[in-house]
Amino acid sequence: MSLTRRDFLAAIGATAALCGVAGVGVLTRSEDVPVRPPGAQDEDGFLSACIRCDRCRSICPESSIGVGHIEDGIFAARLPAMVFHDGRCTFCNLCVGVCPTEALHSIDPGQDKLGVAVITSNCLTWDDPGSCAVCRDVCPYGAVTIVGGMPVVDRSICNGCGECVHLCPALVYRSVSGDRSMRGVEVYPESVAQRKVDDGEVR
Amino acid sequence: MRLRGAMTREEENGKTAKDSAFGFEGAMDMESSAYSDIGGYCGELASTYDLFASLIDREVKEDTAGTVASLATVPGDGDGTDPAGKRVADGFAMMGKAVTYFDEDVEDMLAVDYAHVFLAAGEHNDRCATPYESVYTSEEGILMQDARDDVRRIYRESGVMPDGEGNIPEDYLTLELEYLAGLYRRLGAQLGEGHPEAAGRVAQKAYGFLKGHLLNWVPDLVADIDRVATTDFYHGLALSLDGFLACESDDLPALCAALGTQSAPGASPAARD
Repeated sequence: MSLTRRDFLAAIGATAALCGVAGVGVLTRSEDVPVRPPGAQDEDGFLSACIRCDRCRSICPESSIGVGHIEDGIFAARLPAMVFHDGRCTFCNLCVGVCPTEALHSIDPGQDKLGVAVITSNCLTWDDPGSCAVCRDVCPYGAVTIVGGMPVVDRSICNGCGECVHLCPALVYRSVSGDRSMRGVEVYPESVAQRKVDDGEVR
Repeated sequence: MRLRGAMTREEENGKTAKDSAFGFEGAMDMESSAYSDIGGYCGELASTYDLFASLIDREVKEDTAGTVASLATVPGDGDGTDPAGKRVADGFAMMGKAVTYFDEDVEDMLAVDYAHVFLAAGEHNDRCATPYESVYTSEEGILMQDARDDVRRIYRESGVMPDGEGNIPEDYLTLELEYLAGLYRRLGAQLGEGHPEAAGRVAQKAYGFLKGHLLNWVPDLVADIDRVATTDFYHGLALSLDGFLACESDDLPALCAALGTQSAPGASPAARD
């Protein structure tokens, strides 16, 4: 009996699966890379340059820079990361000015990005379209529109400033299940956002 | 260095495109049932990647030997028009024959050959088949070079990392194969759930990785495996892995086309959208 290539390769895969071949399992899911402060979007360069001195977090007038904790892993501990729950990045460059190792750089908010915003399943409109448009109303760059009662982020315009996350009322207006710290809109590094969209976690 | 039974790329020219496993024409108009069908196939390909990953990662034990022996009976390339598929079939036939009677002696013999081929046991003067991309793509032929850095970046963008980070260079062949297995599983899940556009982006990412990494160096590695190995099992592994990646090199562009993502191969998926 002759098999097509597809039938043949499928038979190999199916047999391997039936026999319980499950790979080696040495590649595991990692924590998502967080959004870094301005000019630190090259993660490897940032990891090698940042000395975890805490000056950027201390000087941020919007309190939008936090630091990693030891439970995030030994590499991530005390590394600065953006936390937009208390404020957004205004690109004031104070953090860039105090960085002693030039791990941070001034960026152009019209061209460069900290990350991009995505709409999560905690968004009020996920279940009730038309119920909220705060993210559209507050976005300083006009990157959010409402389509069919639901916010849609134009990722070519959004620069990840975090204003929508800061003012998102989703966790105020209703109790949510799942990740209780996740708002109806969150900012992720571009590649992480794309993966989450592809996986259907966010839109 | 040429593998036993291997044809050159030139010899295969003109045959590979039409031999594609995804060789449906007008695929843009596929029904959802066709997507689901391809999704199932992607799951099976993921298992094949897993099998190769485990064969590279460790010596053959009784359970793996049983699997390989059963695979040797799968008939392939009956009409001889698919040279890459024939290499896979011939390779599995060689491996299967080598473990048909698997006792302690065979197990020891294969473990010795594994150490000889992949761990350089007893090799003093010549390069063995070191299963790390940097060794094959860097000028000095050493570990932890540019290829490792790039693979690490790709893993990080995809949200995966080697278990026990810091112990295994990210460009280890087993990890690269597992990464593709994971992409195929994601692809299969997205097709099963009816998201062909998202699946298309994953397919593009898989093709970019295959072309930008595995195809860069695995053909040289399998030639080394074939040169260094003393058992038919590892000669067969070299032949089947070489054939399998050649099949993938034909089939993945067809899958990308079927899912409507026909951008330049190797384009950074992160830059898309």
